[in-house]
Amino acid sequence: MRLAAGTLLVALCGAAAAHAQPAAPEASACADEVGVDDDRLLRQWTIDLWGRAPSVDEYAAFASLRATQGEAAYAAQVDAMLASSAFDAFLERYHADLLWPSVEALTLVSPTSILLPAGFYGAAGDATRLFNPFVAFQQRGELFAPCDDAPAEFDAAGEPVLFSRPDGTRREGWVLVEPYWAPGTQVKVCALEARIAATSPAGQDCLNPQAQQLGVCGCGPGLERCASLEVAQRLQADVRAQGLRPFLRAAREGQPYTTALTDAREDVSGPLAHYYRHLARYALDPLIAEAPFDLTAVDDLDYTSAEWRSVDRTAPQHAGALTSPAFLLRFQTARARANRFYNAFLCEPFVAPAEGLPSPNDACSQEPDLRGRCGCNSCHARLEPAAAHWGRFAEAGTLTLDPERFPVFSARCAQCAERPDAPCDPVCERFYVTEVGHPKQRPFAGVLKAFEFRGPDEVARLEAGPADLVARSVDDGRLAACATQQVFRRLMQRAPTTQEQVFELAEHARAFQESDFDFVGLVRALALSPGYRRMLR
Amino acid sequence: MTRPAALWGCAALAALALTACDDARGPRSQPAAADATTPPHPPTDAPPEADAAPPPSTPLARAAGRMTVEALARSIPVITGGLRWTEDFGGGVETDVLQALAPTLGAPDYLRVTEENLEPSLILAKFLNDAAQRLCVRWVERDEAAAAADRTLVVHPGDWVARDPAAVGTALRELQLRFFGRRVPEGAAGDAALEPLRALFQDASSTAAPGREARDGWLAVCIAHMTDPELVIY
Repeated sequence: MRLAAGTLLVALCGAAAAHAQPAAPEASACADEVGVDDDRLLRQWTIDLWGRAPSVDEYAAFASLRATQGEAAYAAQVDAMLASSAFDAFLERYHADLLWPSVEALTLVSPTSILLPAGFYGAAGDATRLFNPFVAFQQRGELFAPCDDAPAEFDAAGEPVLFSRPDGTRREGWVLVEPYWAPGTQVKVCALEARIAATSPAGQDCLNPQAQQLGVCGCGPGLERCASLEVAQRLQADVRAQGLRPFLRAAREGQPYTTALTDAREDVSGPLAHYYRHLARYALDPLIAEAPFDLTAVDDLDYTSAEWRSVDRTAPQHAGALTSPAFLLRFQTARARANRFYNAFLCEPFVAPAEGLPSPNDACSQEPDLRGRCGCNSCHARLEPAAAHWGRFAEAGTLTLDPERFPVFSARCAQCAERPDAPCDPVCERFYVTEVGHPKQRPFAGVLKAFEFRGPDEVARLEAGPADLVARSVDDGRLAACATQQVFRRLMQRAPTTQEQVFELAEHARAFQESDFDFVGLVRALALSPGYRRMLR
Repeated sequence: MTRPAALWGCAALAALALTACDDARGPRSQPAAADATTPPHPPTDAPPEADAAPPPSTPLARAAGRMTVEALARSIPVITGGLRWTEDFGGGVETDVLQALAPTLGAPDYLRVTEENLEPSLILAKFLNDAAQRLCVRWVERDEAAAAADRTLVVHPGDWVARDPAAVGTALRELQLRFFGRRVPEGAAGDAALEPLRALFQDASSTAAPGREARDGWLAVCIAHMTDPELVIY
């Protein structure tokens, strides 16, 4: 609940604040409205648009602007604020509140690649020497056993010499390595982790995740196949930022707001370029595996580069922020992705029927297709077609399920359904229908899960990607209406009333649509609206 | 209960009581349905027909809101001229306390908390009180040592230690603008509005140890401003 009437509220509590503030201005009946003066107006604009209170100098500058430009000063002030990079604070926070970009809980860096400081687990000696628990478990005999705090020794073949300890573990020493994340410096790394093998002793390519899991490959030149905790945190921050950048880019480039939801481009930072080049292939869950664009486009982007580069993603289904790693990983199923889109950009939450769901023992509750299952269908009749738009993206991952590698039907995977007791390929288990629990599922054995129960219309949606859903929302006006409502709620600190939706907001939504989705213009219109300068008390 | 805590509790109760006022404009916290399609369960408060006659004059108006924790953290350095609430909890590393407390104060992490709780709360009042106790001491110390042109707390043309009514009034007016965007007019009406703060300054400085009069007076005034709910309400 937003505060109903801050000024009156302060006045009511004035006795408690006798020393804290001057007497509050006039207080009267409920639902009164008062105009705010120029200083309060500037404070509202600055907190709303720049995410902070104004400085004394900014109050003075606005007063001066008012003195020289009169009424025109209001538009001039808002225009200046919207043109400032400080407005990015609004764009970021507003869209974070819509897209919920939480990536902190994700394991972007595989456990086979993470380098932890020895001190993390209380090891004696220099706490900063780096080790990997997977290598420790496979080679030293204990999960959290780093190397000894001594320079490593090597045998004639150049392999680190391991010394047995009474506790049954085997330890080697450390070496100094110049890591890719801090060129010009050296870090202590356990010698087993510092190896630069291209293949495992058994001949497996060290780019293969299975070889890396054996702990025999090492981190490669400059530790490129590994990441320190700081690198892992930086990657999370960049993935989060990347998911919001389409909105900043659209605003700054004067592109329609819808571009942020349909654009084929993705912004890539130096750390993300390194991640896609060297680390993504080892991330098994969530499944990331590869860059969604041609890596040669970021060949010259080193980890330490400060540049963000826009690159074209190759799959035709990519659609702005809606297929960014941050979005796909935060919302791990196609239904969750569609559900967030409906809530954030169409203002249409899916709500269960008031009468509740029928008993699970009810015959109709056995229907495997949720579009037809009684009770569930109240949402899923709309949700399933919407979710289809994300059907070409792996669930619990970011991988694009391109038709060549992931055909709609796999005879091999269909065999899994036929012989449930036989071992089944993990790819089949993850992506294809391999279990048939209901006769209606029988025709879908061996079919890509994303295609199960889908008719021609939904298959077309699936192949078109989320941009098609955006286009439909543009055509019927829902996207413009919802964006207007969301900005209204942000600036007016309350939900619009039904009448406001029908009259004032409908006008703003129409103008937003006619402006080719000029989002900054929408914010401007509401920030300059007479209503923004009136305060409910 | 301290004064700020009592004040925030009062604020919370007042806000709750005032929800009755919302009825005139409909509920403020629930999004109204805007389904252009035909959902299986149409909303009960479906909008009237678009071609209905406009209602009698009910102009849009903004409700008072509370700053987010993020905005508060960004605002404090602007208001204080660069001070952030940081603490060294050991190891020589300065921790940004508001950032560390953000989850406690209701800021969203978009995993467990997806919408910031912007209700007035005693826990925010409590931590603002803590912030005031820590920040105001630093602000007073820094301001006293600063050149006159660089002061941000005691801004008047006289010596920092000046306690004459004119100098104090000038600085209080500046603080009201700095904290709340409130421009207190010159003259009797403005002076009357500032009287509680003048009294606070006078009380604190008159009971201070010799030599600390101005310092204690401005410390009290700073804490009063920092713990005023109007700092975060806008």
